[in-house]
Amino acid sequence: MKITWFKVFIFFFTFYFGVCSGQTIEHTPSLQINLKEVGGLYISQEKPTPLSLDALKEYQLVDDARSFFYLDFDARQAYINFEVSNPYKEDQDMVLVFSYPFVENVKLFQVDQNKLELLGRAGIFSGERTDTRSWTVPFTLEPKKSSTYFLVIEKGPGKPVATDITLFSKEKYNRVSMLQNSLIGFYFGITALSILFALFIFGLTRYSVFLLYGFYLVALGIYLGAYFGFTNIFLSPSKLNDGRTIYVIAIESSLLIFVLFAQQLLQAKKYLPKLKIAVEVVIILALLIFRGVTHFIGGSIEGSQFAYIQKAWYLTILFLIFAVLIQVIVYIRHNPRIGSLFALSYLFMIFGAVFMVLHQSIGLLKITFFGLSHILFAATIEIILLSITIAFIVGKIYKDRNMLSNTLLVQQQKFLNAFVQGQEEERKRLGSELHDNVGSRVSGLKRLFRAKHQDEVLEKEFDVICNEIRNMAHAITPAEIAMVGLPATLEDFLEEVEGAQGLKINFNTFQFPEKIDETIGTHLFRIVQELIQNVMKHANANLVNVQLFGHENSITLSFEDNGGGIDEKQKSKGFGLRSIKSRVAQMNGQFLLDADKGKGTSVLVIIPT
Amino acid sequence: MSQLKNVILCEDHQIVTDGLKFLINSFSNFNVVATVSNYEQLRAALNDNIPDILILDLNLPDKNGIEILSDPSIKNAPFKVIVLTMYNKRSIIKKVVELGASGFLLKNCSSNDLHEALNHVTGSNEFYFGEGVKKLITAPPLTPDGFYKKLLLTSRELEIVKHLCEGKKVPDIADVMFISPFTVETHKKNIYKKLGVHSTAKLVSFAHENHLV
Repeated sequence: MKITWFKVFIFFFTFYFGVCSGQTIEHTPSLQINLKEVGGLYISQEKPTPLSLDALKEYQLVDDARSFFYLDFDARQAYINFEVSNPYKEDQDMVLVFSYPFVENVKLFQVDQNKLELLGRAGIFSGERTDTRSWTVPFTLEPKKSSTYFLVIEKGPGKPVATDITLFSKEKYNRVSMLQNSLIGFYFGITALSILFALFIFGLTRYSVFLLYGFYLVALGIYLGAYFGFTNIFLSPSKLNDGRTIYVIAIESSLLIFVLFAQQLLQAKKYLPKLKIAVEVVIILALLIFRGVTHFIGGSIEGSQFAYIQKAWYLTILFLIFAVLIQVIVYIRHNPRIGSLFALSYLFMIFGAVFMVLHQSIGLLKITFFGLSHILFAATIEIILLSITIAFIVGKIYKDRNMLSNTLLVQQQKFLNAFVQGQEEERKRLGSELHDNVGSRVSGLKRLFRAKHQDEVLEKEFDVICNEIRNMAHAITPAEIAMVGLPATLEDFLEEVEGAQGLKINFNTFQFPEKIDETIGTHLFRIVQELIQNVMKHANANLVNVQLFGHENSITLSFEDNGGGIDEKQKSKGFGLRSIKSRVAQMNGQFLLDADKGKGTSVLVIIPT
Repeated sequence: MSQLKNVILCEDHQIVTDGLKFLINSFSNFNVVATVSNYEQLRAALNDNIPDILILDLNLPDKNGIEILSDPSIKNAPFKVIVLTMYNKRSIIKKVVELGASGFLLKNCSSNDLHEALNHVTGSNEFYFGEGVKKLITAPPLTPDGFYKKLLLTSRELEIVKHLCEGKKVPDIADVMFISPFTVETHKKNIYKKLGVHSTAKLVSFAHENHLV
């Protein structure tokens, strides 16, 4: 920012003292001057001719208030002249630096005895090679001498050029370029981190939005890399023009990928399905028609036609920008936090893109910080904001997933509770039906039969049926809990089991309340039944301790066996344990299981009273 | 020929009632004076006339037989009660005996069994166990503060007592036994209740006195 203000100051300063062609620049060690502030730009629309001072005089001075050099679609050749003096007794190294990496062919001449003497060349068609990201033309000032220089710029038709041309002293250039490279490095660092982040998240979630984000970052990185001149370093000297193609493809694909990414991120499919389809159709058409036309027959069309195509392309971009804008607004309504963050990063993106178009294609505007285009800063901020947005989205996804799994768990628990409850009711109904109704009727039938017939065999059969019904009824429901209470019912049950299984069962109660809620009694009875069943099935135990305790504010059931314990699989899988847990939950109680392998099983059920 | 004894039947299944009434009336010295099918009707019938014997089903729609037997107006009444039920559970029989009934019959009892029961309760105060009814085992009497119960510590409880005697605190015991502190706390509470102690100090001295550790 400082430098910008400084530049503004310089600009006004030079403006105030009158800008005139050929003004003498005096060398200082920290010299940095925008050539646009020094001399006018002379343009010719003719094809380049052999250069001479006389030929250059034919060129027309362009009245241009821009702070940078802009050669429009039709310009073919231009020059600037300036004078530099060296007040020192030593040679002074100077550098001319071009901000635009795709200047085509630039030549620097020194006027020597009314002749143009070539000092250096730069540009993608100059045959030169650069090992820095910017095109530079170094030259040396002789001691105590003032010289006039002509900088001649050639370009092909149909492609505007907008570039800063800055004259540095060598020392100043080294310092500035170091700062600039650090800033660019920072940008690429952020990009690399964000790409890793996006890929990592994609690997975790498999949501394509994160992969698209990664692609977008790559495309944007290539675009900015090309814009800041790195293609000139990496490509072979004869193929430098391809850098421009890479640049164009990268800028367009980054834009399109961004739009696709935004569709996904903003859940356009959910909120604005029609707009999403429109956007996708426009993208496909734009790719097919506009790019097809410009890339394959681009060379053979006139500047004016080219401008039409260019305008149509801009119109497409404008449509996409507005489509995404609408999607952002709709999305913010549903997700204010993520939406606003995205909107902010989107703002920086549009800001970067629109100013870029205005500057590079129309030559309207230029915003630089530390001599670097605004696009670098806009993109850096955009990426940081987008990565934060992405992080929030990941957070949201995980929160949603957790909520979903929690809801599932709760539902599962509810289902199990309902199941256990229903099962209990059904058993009760069936048991009492068998016991009271069917049993009573069969016994009555027996007596009626007896009154009329004498048949020992049939009478015995009636008794067998009666006993069977009784046993079945007892197996189904502990109906006597209501009559004699839980301890007595358990005692009966455990006695029966002990007899049948050869299992030693100790049953004791310690101040267990006489009257407890029948439902709780039934639940506790079932729990003991279930645990006994587990013991018989799995535990390989020969001693079981069942105890009922009455405490001040709770009752406790303690169940211990000396078997093999329950392994982890059974703990989580067994329906028996799950239904026990469900019963305990229905009584608002606590279930404590201590059943490590080889230790025997200890179960505590604590029910508040 | 002795005096005719009046019987009230309280049973909610008509087929059973009909069979019983027919049978009892066929016995020379018993006569069914009323048949009722729930507690409310029973109260009304008892107001009209006091029988010699009440035959009571345990499963009634409004009040179960155990509750009816607990009712002071029945418990203290002069007539004998024979319980007639499908249940053949020691706990229930025990309860019925405790509540002062005079006999216990299973619903599918034979007519001989029924006749015998009626005769038995008329002449004796000893409890009548019908055919097939489980006899009560007289459990060894437990002195409430005797060794017996105190030595009923389970292995898990004994382990905790040992740790407590070594001076370990609940969280340490939980660590050693790989169980939660709450589990240890619950066991401890149970042990206190079982042994009738209220502090660790008392528990430790009890354990030493009884050579638990």
